[in-house]
Amino acid sequence: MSEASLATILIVEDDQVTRMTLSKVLSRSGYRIIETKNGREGLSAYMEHHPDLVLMDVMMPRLDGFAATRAIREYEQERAIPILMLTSLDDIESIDGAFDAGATDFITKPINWGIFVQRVKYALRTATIEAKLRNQQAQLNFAQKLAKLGYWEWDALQDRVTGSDSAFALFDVPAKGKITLEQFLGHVKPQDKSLINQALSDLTLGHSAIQVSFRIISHDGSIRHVEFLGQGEFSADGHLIRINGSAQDISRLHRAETQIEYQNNHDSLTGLPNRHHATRTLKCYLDESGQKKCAVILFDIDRFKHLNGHLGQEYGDQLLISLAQRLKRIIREEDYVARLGNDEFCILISNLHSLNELNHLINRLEKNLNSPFVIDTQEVFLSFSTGIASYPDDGQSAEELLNNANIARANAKNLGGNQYLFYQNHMNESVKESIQLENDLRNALKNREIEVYYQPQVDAQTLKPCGSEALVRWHHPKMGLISPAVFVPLAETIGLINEIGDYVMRQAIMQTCEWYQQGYPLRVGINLSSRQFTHNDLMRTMQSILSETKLPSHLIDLEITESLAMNDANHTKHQLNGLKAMGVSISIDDFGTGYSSLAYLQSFPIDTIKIDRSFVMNLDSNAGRAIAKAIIAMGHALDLEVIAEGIENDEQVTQLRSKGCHIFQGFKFGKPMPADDFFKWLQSHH
Amino acid sequence: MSVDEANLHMLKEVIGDDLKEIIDAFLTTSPEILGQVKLSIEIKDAAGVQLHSHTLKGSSANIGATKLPGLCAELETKAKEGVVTDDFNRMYQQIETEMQNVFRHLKQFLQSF
Repeated sequence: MSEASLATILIVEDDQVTRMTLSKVLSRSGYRIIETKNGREGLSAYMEHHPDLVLMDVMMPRLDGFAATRAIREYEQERAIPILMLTSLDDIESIDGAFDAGATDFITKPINWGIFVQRVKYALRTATIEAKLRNQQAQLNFAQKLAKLGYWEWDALQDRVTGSDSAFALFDVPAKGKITLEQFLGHVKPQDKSLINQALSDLTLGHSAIQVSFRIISHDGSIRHVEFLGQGEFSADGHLIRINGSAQDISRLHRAETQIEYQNNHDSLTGLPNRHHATRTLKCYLDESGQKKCAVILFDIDRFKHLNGHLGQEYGDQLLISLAQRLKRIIREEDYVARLGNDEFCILISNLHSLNELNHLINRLEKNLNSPFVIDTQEVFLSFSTGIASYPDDGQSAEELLNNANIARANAKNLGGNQYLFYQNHMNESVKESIQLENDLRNALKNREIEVYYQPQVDAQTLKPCGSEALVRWHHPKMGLISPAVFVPLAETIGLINEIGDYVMRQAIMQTCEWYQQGYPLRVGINLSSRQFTHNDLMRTMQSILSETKLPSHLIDLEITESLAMNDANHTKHQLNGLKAMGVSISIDDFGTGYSSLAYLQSFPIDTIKIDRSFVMNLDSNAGRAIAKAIIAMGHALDLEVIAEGIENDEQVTQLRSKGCHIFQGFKFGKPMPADDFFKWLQSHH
Repeated sequence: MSVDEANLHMLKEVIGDDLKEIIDAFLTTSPEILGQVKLSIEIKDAAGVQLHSHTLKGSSANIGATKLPGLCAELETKAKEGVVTDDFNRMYQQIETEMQNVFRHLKQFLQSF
């Protein structure tokens, strides 16, 4: 949007006359206008058209202006789009509320038409400048990062160094707190310190600029070549008061000759040999060593993609680097480690004497990799899927060995990961089977084999139906009913989970709406998979379903597990706040089973907790009763609704009811069933 | 004066002849909204009174009505208390009368197009 005439403005205003006036006035000035009548329509239109500015009324039926503004802010994290709220001049409350909700500015009613257009133009221009600035800053940071360039400044009077993050990274010094020049230069190689001291004394002697290159020893022991440029600033009486300068990583220049050769054989992120090099090394080894035994251990990180998506590429890269460092450290002198692909590594064990020796090595590897990795002061535990093929039993050539180790790895992964498997002949078969299942799953939606089942939920006091949990089922044409525990992880790995999740969500909401219109106002619990939840389009999908259905949104209850919510608490908060602003209810599933921080939990906009069935099963013991009581009491204290799952008998009903549980679910009231059966159940229990 | 002529002329300057459409819209929709206010009072729905008098306040202010927005605001504030009292009928009467004045003015103004 470089010219005002191209800008699109979204009007959200329920009064027709005001809306029309706004629209006419603005289209006269050349803007493209989208008119909507309430917050819900406004939000939909926002997602569809991505306008450059929003004019938002405060008081509207169906999602008021505050909620709609909040929802837009949650949805749009990248752009700071101007939202101008229309408020009455006398309504101080609204004006405060407008800023709290995230409005950029407000325009008072009655609108002064003479200056109105100017206000809009001004807001658009400010937003454009802001976006440009933000963009430039990002570009500058990127360019500096690319050039491995940092700027820094030393205040000589206070002996304080400040500068860009990249400068601190170059010197391997944390950019926190007060840093003196000596601390800043703390990792300079001792032999090179005199070079710097020389340059600094040149400066105090009146040279206005210095240029010096030296080496830094970083925390991982690697050596970095840095070039340092500085300009002195002097007081009137000739004293040095400040040095401004830049620093650049010039290690590459020093490696220039060997660079090309190196790059062909090494992976640039971790510095480990790459697949090309690994294959060649294995080939050479097999050629030279004759009949000696050896083994290929091939592994990848479980759910690495998910981890990467969650914590960011940069975090994932850090993880790979520290994994590579650890691998280099733990292998024996004569062994060899390479990075074959993204998160796929291989270790070549040479000079193998017995299977026992191999087992011993694998145990050591496993133990080492099971201890946590620390990235940015945060601990991460990884699990791996590992496949092992040994020479000569499992293959004669380098390709065959790598391939068979990979098949074993794929098997380990299919069995749920976090394990290692030795290659066996029949594995080829089972891989074929799982590929067949994958293909079947790809067609399952199209063939209408995916069905939504509904498990009854009843009010704890009256035991009358009050809702259901929607559960997905797959009717495989040959294998019959397949458990979600099997096909959901499969759908996640082959990228079908969003499609299936969206289908279930839509289906469950439409079905519940049908019952609603037949006079049964039931809530419906819908499970969100981690992919769905981390997917940015969740809000958009929900919005589009909401606009298609007449079901009041508070009857839709999205269930996320504790561990999913805690995985990326910040993302969770945005996502949940956005959904909440649309009026949807949120519950925490399997409550009490995962790791959770109460502080965070309290900051999420949650309506309901679902007590896990394991607690209900343990109600017959004193300890079990105490835990259930504590969870329910906590739910009450946080003003949350409490649902108990897995109820099977009257005893449990009495116990949980007396403790104040609100809703029950379990075989006692009904198993998950197809929609038709559920409807029959509903009629017979109403 | 029930309507601020200066405001109307300014609007005409900004929008041009399209202003006629807006005034027409006001002449059609506001009796409907007024009807909603009346109905809400009859069925003692304070929230309804609040919402509809708010809407009427906004749209009449925007075309430059002078007294009408104030009268609507009074009713809106009163309705915020949550109970519909006998006072409401009196206030409604004032609004209806003033509305007629505004209508007369606007129709006259339309002659100038």
